[in-house]
Amino acid sequence: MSSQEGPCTFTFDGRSITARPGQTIAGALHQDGVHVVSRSFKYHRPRGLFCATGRCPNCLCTVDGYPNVRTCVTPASQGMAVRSQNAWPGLKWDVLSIFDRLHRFMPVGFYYRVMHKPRFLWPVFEAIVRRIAGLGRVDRQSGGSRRYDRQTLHSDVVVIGGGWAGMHAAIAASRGGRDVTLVDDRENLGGHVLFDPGARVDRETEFESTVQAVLDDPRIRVLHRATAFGCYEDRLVAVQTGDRMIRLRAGQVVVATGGWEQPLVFPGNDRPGVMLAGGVQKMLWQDGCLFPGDAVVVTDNQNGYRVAHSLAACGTRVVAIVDHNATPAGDPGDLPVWTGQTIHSVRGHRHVTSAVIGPLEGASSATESISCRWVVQAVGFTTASGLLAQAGCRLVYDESRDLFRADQLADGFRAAGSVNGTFDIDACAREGRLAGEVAAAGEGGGTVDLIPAETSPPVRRPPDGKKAFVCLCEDVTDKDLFDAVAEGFANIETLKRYSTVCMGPCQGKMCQSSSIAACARANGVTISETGRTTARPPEQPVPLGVLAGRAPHRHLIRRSALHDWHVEAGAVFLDSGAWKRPESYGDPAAEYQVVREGVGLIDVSTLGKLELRGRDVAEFLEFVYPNRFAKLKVGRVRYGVVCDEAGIILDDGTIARLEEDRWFLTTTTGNADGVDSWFRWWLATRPGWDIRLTNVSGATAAMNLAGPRSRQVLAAVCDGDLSTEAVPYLAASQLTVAGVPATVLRIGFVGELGYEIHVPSQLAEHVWCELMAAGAASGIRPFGIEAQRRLRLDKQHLLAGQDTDALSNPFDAGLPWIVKLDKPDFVGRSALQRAEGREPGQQLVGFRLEGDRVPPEPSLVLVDGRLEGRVTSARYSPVAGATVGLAWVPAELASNGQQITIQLDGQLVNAVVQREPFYDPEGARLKS
Amino acid sequence: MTSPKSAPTARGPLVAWHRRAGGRIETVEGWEICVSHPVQPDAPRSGGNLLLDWSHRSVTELGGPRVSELVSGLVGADVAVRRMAAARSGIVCRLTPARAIVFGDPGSGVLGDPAAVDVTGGWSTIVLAGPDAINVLSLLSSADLRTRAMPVAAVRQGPVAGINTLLCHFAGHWELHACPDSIVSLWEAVLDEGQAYGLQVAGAERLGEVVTVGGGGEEGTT
Ligand code: FES
Repeated sequence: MSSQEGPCTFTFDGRSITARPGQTIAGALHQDGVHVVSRSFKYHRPRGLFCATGRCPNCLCTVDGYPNVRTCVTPASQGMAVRSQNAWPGLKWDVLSIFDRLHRFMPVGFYYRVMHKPRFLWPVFEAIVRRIAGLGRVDRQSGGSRRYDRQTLHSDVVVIGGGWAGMHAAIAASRGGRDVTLVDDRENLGGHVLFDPGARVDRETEFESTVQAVLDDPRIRVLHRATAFGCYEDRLVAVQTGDRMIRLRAGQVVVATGGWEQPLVFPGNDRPGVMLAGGVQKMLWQDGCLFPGDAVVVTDNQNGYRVAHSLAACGTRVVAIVDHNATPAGDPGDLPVWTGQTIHSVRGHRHVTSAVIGPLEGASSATESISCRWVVQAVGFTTASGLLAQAGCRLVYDESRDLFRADQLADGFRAAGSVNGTFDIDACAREGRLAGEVAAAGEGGGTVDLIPAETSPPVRRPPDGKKAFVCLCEDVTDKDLFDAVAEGFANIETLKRYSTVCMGPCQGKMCQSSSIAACARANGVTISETGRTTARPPEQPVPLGVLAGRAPHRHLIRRSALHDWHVEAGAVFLDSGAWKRPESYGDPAAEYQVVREGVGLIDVSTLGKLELRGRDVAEFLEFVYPNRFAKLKVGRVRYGVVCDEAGIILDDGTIARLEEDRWFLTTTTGNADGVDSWFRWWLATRPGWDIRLTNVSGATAAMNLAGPRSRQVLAAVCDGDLSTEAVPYLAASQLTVAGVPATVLRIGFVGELGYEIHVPSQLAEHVWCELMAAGAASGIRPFGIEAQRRLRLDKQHLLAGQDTDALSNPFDAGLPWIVKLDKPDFVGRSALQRAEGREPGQQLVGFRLEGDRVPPEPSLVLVDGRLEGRVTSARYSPVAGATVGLAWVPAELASNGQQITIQLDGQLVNAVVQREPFYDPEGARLKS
Repeated sequence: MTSPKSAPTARGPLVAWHRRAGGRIETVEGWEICVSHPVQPDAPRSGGNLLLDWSHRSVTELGGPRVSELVSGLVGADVAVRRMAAARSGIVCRLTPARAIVFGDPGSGVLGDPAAVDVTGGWSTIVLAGPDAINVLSLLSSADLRTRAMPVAAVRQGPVAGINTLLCHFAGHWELHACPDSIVSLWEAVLDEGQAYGLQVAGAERLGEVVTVGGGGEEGTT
């Protein structure tokens, strides 16, 4: 029940409605005389409350902009705006109800056969179909304001269903010392017994004390208003509660989901005023609604008698209890009973006006019409066994009970109560206790031992008729199903797909049994032989927002230690994976120029950084890199590429020897974690190696000070000798920069004198600011990765991953010198040996394109009109006075001066291959 | 943008966030630290849920076959894998037989050891305290956080809000250690989910309230 204390007012299609405290929207509408709450999906027939327990499609409305809200289980609240769906211009007069008269032209599957000819008209039809199909409209504005989230909970035992069996299972599992989560989709525990005073007679105290025992048990966590909609592998139960999805990991699962009350299929069975008994009981006892006028109750069990008495007690005149049995199944008191009869049809349009009653197996001439406003059906339940089926339990048709039930349970699962076809309240309690005990012992699974069936008689099916709905969601009649079978869709799975029966909002709860029965009859086979369709999540429709959780609003952003400085400096950021990297500070051309002529500073903290210590590091590096490291001197750094066993380039970076047994490696930004894992994997194969690998990517920030004036800027904040003699090209030095211990690598990705400075992350901003201050007189500027890309292309320095791909080996990528096949075994050696002897297919080369038109990546390289390569990087180069880039081209075109053809903006342009750098080919500036 | 020549001051990755949120920043022992945040009018004086930034800590990684020996030297006994124990002025988290992380000052003896690498600044720490800390975490992590699965002094590494996190369970609080490049995302995610539980951000001056000295007591030693 809602916690609301006083009456509230809401609007329904603009009309003001008052709800009593705790009343549902549908309850308030019913009380106000609104008995048509929606229009049906296909024929736009008026529909009223049917199950009133949240299972069928009839009460779906748009509430405060959210479509398809089940108003019979949604408490009313002050100011709600409720709108009917699927009706235009209004619920009362719906233009599209004309389809109800045109049904002959709209048989099942008609949309597969019409409207596709003439072809040119299809777009028109499509627009119309799209406009009128579907239920409700998503309000894009309010749709974005809702806050969805996701939670993970773990529990020894999860009990799904808070009815009589579920409560007993939870108590038993708790007594077995387990922590229990009880998932129940209602506000209050008790299941259908809650709304059925007749079922509680003589056990009111027992009922209340059981509910209280569950609520008071500290080991039992009760999730109210929570719907378990999926069972996945390893007993993961998906639960929706409000706007939250709970992923419930269970040690054992007890499914006590009960049953779904089943409707009869007869002409007019969808008319407002035809209802299921459970819904009527709920409306009477929870919503405090009345059913004024006359009612006919159709039944074959005690349930019908109980609802008849409830109605009578609340002022409804029960004019007939129509009992399928030859003798009354219950005590009618002084209510009139028609035994051996059933309902043949109802009359009425916007509301039932009369019911036609006749013999169960008789001719229609023997029928009699009874004037009434309400037709209440109480003809039994089918099992709510969808979750069991999803979990992998085997369901079989139980002839004696006329329902499908599990006979073989998946590991860790138990079933108890009506989901087993057990409807006797004491038997449900016994099954619940047993299931709880078994779950507590961790012994779920195996064959189901059922307590023998009591007196639940099979549902008898009435004769066929016209416009008798099997599926209320999709407006599928029994005739539709017979026609579909006649067309060849005889298998229950294909019948479902063709007719869309069971595919609407009820997900088969109201129609699965009837559709299987109809399929069986149409095929002349048994229900067992017909089988049932595959149960898949979600068991109950779930908003996509709930499935998405909050992920769309909360994605990981990685920021370098200098991020806040970049923000303040007005950086334009680029997403590089999860990283935010400064693409530029507004003027990449000027940033390029300052590096070539003065000095620039770039944040390269995103590089992966690994520290390796130990006696065997050199041997390890010889093994994981194709080039040599054993003889690399302390204080030197070398370029290297990492290849896999197939000789394919995985990554590139630098390897510095800081001390005899201490090395410092960098990787590209994107491969930092990959290289770390790759190395650890190889290290694990030689546990005897004395190597300790520490990933210092986060602990170390890096910046590259580059340009002809970089030495003088660094010298201003550095205590060491920075002369070329002391710190030559490819030196790896341990210096103090701006008072901070730093590893300084003299490398030059951008082709100028440069220093890659690695410092502790927490001191990065201090060092950066000191360098900027020291460089102010030299005109220092920060530069972003756009300028860096232009600068490196001048030198034809490749970017692993950008210029290479999953087929690139060092020979093809223009790095043959890096492979030392004369050293002992290393990762990728044999593949590279084979590659060396092979005729290369494509090669990565530099190219020069006159003018300033830049081919976007990856523009095609064509030879005689055939695709023979691609451009991987290209930029305009001020120093070359032309566009320059890197491209994969056929090997025969890979030599200096060869002309290649590139497709650019739909035109073919000629470029010239150039194998040496476009800038400072001797490397004099780099080494200066 | 100018920068005076100054003594190196360390700055954690959340300092700018604290500044934007109105936190009072002070320099303490060479670190810029957010010492306090404006108290929200509806915040409980005590017993509420608090989120604190404890990035201003030394962190040392121990690796290799001598980890047990070094850990024993710090704690007085070896520490089981996926457990932690209090050291002289910090916590030792044992991740694998050959890997441990020391949060806090390990002492010069350990720092000079070739098996130890100073990774201060490589880990940032968020402290989540209060009665609903476990509920907030359950919205962000799929780990089994029940005491049976993750008792006090347990250490688990895995995604929290999709971010690789070292999660440590203390008697009165949880510590989330993650790479500084992701910590702002983690912080904001925790804060976001904590809204429903009245989670308040607090400055370092309240660390003493929630973090007992030494943190995990003697649990976790073998
Ligand atoms: S009447 Fe509401 S779901 Fe059936």
